[in-house]
Amino acid sequence: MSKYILGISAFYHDSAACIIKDNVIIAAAQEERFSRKKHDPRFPFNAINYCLEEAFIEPEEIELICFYDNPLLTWDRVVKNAVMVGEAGLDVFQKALPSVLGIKVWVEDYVKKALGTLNENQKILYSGHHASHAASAFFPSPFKEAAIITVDGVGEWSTTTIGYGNDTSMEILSEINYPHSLGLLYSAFTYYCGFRVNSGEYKLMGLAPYGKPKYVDLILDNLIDLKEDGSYILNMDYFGYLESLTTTNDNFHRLFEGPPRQPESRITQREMDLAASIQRVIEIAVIRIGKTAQKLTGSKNLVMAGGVALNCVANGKLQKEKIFDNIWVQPAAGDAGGALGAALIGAHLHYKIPRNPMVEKGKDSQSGSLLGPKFSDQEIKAFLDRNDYPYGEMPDPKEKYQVLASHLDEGKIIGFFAGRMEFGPRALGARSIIGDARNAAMQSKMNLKIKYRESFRPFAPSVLEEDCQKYFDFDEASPYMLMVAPVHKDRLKNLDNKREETDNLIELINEERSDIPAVTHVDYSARIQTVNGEYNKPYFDLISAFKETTDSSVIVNTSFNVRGEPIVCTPNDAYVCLMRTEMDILVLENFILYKEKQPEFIDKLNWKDTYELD
Amino acid sequence: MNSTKDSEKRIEAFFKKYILPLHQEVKDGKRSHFQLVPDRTAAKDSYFEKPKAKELTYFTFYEMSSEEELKDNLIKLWEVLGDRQIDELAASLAALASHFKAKQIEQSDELNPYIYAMF
Repeated sequence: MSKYILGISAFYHDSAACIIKDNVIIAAAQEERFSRKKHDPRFPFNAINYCLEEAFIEPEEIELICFYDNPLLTWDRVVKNAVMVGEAGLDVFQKALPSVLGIKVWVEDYVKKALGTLNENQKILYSGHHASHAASAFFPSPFKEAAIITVDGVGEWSTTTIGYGNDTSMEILSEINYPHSLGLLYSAFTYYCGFRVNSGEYKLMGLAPYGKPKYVDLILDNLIDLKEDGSYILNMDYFGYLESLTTTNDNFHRLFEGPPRQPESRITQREMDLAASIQRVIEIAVIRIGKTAQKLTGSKNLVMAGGVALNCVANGKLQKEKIFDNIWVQPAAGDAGGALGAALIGAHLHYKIPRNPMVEKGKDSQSGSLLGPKFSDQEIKAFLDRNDYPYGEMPDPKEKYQVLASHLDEGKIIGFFAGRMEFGPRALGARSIIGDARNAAMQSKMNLKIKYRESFRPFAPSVLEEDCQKYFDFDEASPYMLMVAPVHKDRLKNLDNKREETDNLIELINEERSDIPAVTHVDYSARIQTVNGEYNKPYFDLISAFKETTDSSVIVNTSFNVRGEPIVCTPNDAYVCLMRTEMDILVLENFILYKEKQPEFIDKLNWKDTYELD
Repeated sequence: MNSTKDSEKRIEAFFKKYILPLHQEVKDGKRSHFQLVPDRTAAKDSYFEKPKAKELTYFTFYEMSSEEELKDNLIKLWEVLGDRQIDELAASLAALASHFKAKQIEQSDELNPYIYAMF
């Protein structure tokens, strides 16, 4: 008889739920998509409800509930941290304890509230935090066996692990523990450069190519002792997080000769150089850890998860080293993916259920990470009619994609809403804002008029898998947008431009660097998503139609949201996003809405205040 | 005394009674839970460690819905970790947990913008 297993992650970063049936992932979603609160850390009641609906089961049909970490071990860390710090830690201890003791340890109560009750056969399995990450990376991967690397800020005690997975087994071989953490080191620089910790790390990575890595030696000589095997110890004299609620301290600020940048103030060359430096250090560390993982396991395959595995620049560098023949990164590499990993631990380590048969074909079982809610044409039509929103219908797919391709060619920006929502932080063509990558004004327009975010932030290309090598120096599939690689040299422009050290970001951004300028970052790299018809047919058909129309098989893909807002989930979320921005067109499955034809939109929220800047 | 003050007092009392004496052991060099600074002079090739306990690394089953169960689980945890000497904290921590549970604290939907969420 089939076993339904519910996986839950909660209380720290991106809460999420997932449900699997034996070895098949039925559904997975982050709570933020339903609550509309970005990175919502609260218990994922909405996501659990969605998973039960998608699986079409009652709560009592769940065989096992798996929680993605062990709250007692976190408790142990909080206590021992206080013991190490003494009097200076009282303030943090007082702030941490009500939350740790009053909420995070009572998982069972929350589960009962979510499911109504627990019957006597329903148990809660608590998996190790990094074991959950490791399981989320290995079990859905296309590999029968693989080395496993997990790197994040901290989960319980662990911050970095190396492991090995083989069939239904998995072993963690080595680890680094709190307070020593590459994730926390990166977060310290995120904070110091004036971005929000827990969400601004991606910005720091985007800023790095604008700078010079002039502080690398300073970091390696003072902040971190990085061994040849990739293991490391931080020098806690420079960090504040043992005894305060800030990541860095005065020693850190003295070392880099100044206070942290104020959020939203002008970004200077200093921040760019700091970003470039810490990015380089992370890349060195990840490559060394990769070499050690290969040495320890002897495997040609590598899988990765944990928040640092979302650093697609480091992933690209690791791939280029060719330490492994194949690399697969869990698309929901952060804590949300822990829900999936926990459920898979329940399936494979506890119940010993065989792996998903896709692995026999050398394919992953993540289903393109399209594991969230879908809305039917009937539901969308009812929504549009109920609200009297003017729309057109395009039931013929060929005609639909031709029309959309023409609009993209005209420079229009389209909100594309099709199929099941993505699980994980990246929009992969189900909830995406798209545009023409050849259009030199597209990056600036999308950043400032659609996303309302900093102009330096790059956009990613979606490219037909079969054409990837025509555009990029990259010969692998990258369906989850987790690899960065150089734009093909034949497409580059203005290579001879001499870049003086400048604080003028706009000047750098507006430089046309290739014939796909909207997705070519300042260092001539791109964060690639390869698209094939198997994972995401509508998106593949759309890009194919664009290719027929323009002979270009690359489009810009950015997440369907504005800055600080979670990616849209429902047709209503998408419509509101259309009306709040200067997007031109919204496509909801087979319906098309032109912004110019919509009635005046009276916003019930002052959304720029509602969504905090990320 | 309002309830927030009461909670702060309870935590402070716990801190003084249990944490500070253990911290004194740290100061006296009799206890350490982690290294604070690198020792670059040491002839050490690697900082990697083996996982401490298999059952804590992969998965475990807990029943944790009462103060008593919490206390028992904590004692078991410290037994597995080889920290029996801090067993005496378990009852007080479980009592604190029970106190905060009764207050029905709601988790904020905000993440602190200055520090990685880790507590």
